[in-house]
Amino acid sequence: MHMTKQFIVAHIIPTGVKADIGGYVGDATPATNMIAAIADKVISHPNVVNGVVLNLAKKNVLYVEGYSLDMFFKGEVELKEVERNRIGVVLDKGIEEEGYNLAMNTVNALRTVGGVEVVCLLKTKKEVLTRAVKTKSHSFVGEIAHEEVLIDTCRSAIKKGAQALAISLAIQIHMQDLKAYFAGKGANPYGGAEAIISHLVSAEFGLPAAHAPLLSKYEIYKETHSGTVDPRAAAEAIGPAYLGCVLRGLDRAPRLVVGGCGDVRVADVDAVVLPYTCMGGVPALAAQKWKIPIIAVKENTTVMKATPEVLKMKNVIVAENYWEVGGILAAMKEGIDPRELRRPVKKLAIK
Amino acid sequence: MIVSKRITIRRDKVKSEQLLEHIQKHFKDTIDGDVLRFAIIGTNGATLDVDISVRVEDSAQKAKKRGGRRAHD
Repeated sequence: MHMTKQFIVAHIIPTGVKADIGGYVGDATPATNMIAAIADKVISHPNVVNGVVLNLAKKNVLYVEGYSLDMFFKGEVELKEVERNRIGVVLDKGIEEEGYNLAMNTVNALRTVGGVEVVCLLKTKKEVLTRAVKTKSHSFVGEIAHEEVLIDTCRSAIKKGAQALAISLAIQIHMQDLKAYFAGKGANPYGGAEAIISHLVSAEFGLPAAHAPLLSKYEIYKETHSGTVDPRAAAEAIGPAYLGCVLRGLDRAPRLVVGGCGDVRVADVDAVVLPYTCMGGVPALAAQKWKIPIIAVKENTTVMKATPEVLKMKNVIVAENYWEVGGILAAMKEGIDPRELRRPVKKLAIK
Repeated sequence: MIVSKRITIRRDKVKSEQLLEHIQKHFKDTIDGDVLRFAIIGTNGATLDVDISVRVEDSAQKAKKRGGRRAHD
């Protein structure tokens, strides 16, 4: 049977780098859904579409965790689409009852309203002890003291039938960083640590995974009593039920497979859309290797400085904003060289 | 445990198509532990500034693997 080539785009916005679009909670969802209106499939990741209890990504957006995304771009795994996954939820030990109540109510809401299948809800044997670390460039990364405790609990969840893992750990942050973030003046302090947690679990088990912060009673109070916050963080201020978006995303997250039995391979990707200053991660570097066009979005500023120019990259189309991204992708899908839509036309010479 | 730090890597005039392999080789040759996540955050002359998060074994984990006991066990 002849299959028409699908137009597949990856949309990547790294976590914890104060991206103007996508640096908050799910605020890159409209941009992602615009791309998904043009492309047959969009490969994206939790940071782009996770909106606390909301995950409003279109159905053709494939939810792939960062480490798995890196493996996919390196050509080490393929993506196999599924109708649904059975999800295991793993919670950190050591917070007050209010945090667990919020987590439990969120899980039950997604089960009863969303039809999500949750096979178990496990608590770690001791505190994993995760903390956010602010870098010199004001991005956030993370550190974990007892990752083996998390790994053991995830293993138990898999034994109970989990095909995907929703992790919710307490992350130690400084409250002034949260305040700056809510004011639109700082990166998401939870973001970098969350990425490390989900990278760890994906690396260990090769399953779809994502993380949602597990908040203390004090953090719940602070998040819901912060007044009118930056509009991009508003989903947090109305109720920090972070597990909601994760469960919705993992419900249909593609599985990682090898040996040619996947539905999507890196060779199928037609373009990668990234912030202009974020060319230094695996997706952009792998795109250079495989000669996949990169669309670098200038308006989506971050605290990073890895531009196409400083890294001397080729095959990069610079878009001023997501409006231009839409036009460039529409041209590419139609087989039109996007440069032919601009003036002046580059002159060719016979040599 | 998992720790995060900033390192520098000489680019050595490596082309962008080979940059991923160049960085991975640097990790393999110089980093003790599994690099879970990295990103070039910028450049400084001929070097790349890179943030990395690495899974390393602490002394307790190493002792446990060897079947040993910590002093206070």
